[in-house]
Amino acid sequence: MTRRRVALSLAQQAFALRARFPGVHAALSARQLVWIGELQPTSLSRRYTVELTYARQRFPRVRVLDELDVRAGEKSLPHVYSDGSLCLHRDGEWSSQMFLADTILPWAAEWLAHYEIWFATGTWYGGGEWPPRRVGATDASPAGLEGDARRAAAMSLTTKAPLDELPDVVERSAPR
Amino acid sequence: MLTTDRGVQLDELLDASISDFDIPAAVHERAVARYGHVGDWLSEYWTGSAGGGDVYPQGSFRLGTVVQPIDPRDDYDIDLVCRRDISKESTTQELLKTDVGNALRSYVATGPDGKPQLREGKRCWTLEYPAEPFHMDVLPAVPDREAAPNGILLTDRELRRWQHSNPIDYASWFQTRMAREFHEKRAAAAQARKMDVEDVPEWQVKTTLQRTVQALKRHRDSYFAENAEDRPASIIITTLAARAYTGSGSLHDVLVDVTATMPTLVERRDGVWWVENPVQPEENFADRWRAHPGRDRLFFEWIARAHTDFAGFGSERGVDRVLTKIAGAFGERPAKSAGALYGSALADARDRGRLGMAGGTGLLCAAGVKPIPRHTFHGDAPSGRA
Repeated sequence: MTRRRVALSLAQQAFALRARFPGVHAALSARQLVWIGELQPTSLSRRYTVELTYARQRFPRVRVLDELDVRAGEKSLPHVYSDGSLCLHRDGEWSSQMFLADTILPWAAEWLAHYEIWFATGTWYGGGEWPPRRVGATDASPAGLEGDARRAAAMSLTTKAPLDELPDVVERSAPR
Repeated sequence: MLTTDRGVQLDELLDASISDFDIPAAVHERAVARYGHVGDWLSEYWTGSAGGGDVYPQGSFRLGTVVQPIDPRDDYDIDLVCRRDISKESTTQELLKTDVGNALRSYVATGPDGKPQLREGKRCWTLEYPAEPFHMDVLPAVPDREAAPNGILLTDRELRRWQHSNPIDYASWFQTRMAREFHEKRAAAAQARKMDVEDVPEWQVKTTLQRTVQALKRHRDSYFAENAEDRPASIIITTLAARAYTGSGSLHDVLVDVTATMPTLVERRDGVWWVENPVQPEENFADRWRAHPGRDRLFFEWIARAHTDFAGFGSERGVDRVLTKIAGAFGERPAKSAGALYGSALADARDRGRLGMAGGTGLLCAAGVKPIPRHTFHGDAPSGRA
């Protein structure tokens, strides 16, 4: 992947999304880009309507607009924030110099594929970290927490996460 | 597993599910070693006696259609023929059975690998291996001169009449039904492993027909879980499936087509249901249905259900729903195992930079110019987890 030193503009992101999904029109304003399109992660899978919202200096946010069933015996979906958006990467794995079309969207497609497998098997095979370790998170061991206490702890760590400002290092990397 | 073809993806999930109830390779190899040792020892033992002897597998072990018992604590049944090369006039059924039993008792007394114990059955001897997930039923037999070279005569349950049998020719017949696909798959396996074709063990090649027979047997075992004695015999299933198989097609298509054709191949002769033994036309595999009225009806009901279930795999949208249907047909474990294989393959491809996404659809596929970058799924733990 080509790494650029300056953040891509919203227009550049929208253009790349359009190239990858010609049939989908991204709504673009001065501060925000909203892409709503369909992803079918595997040929046996359903098609899911996905909303990708991206504002400068924020992490992109992906929500699945279709209702996703939670597996019997589980209280929530795996790898979602408490607002329902998908947890697709660690902070350092995405920067505004990367194309959403080459990162966030394929990651969302992967999430959907692993969601279907999880729903049938009860196991998440996509890898990842549980629970999240956001900046400033205290090292609360999930093993020591039970039920509501554990849920509350996890929520407090992540409620604002998708809209957190990007780390300084990303935005401030200066041209050579 | 990175296909974007719906039919191929379905076949991969089905094949992964069915291979879950295949006999594991290590168990297979140990079983071959064990009966090979019995055979070598017996031929040595019988050197100098009136006739030699041979031990070889018959039935599903020979055909490559073994399925794991539904209850994993149950043993695999491995059926062996012990052919004593003496004439039927020189012995009686009781003498033959005693003769083979004495030989096996001497074998067991030498304390061979696996520490087998000998148990007497009605018409066979059983070698039980305490530490193995299998036991071996050894059927005493003599050559059938009217069906040389491979025909044999077996003792019947009452040890009165000789019964004609020919497991070797039956297996050859079964193999001819799938010969082309077998050679293609073996050649492909050899190429993939950079081996000579002859070096790929035959039992490691699984054709669509073998997978279909395994699928049918597992479906039967779960369908008849509560009344196992009424289960259609494996030989009936295998014969009808092999006759219905046209030699090609995707696994899913074959499962659907074969189950549609099988009931039409059961003949009615003078008011009696017939499933002819293809290598001994005078033998009716469905003969027992006469003594057990109702089994014919149960067979036709079951095969119709198998057909509906197999057809249903193809009408679902969503890997989750396909796997749920597979679980309904074959059990939870095969479905989970297929899901595990598929999910791990996706994650592994991503981690190796070999996963891509097709534009326009979002279909995950083999990476082209833009492999999906590595990343870490993150976020709240599902709160229902312990």
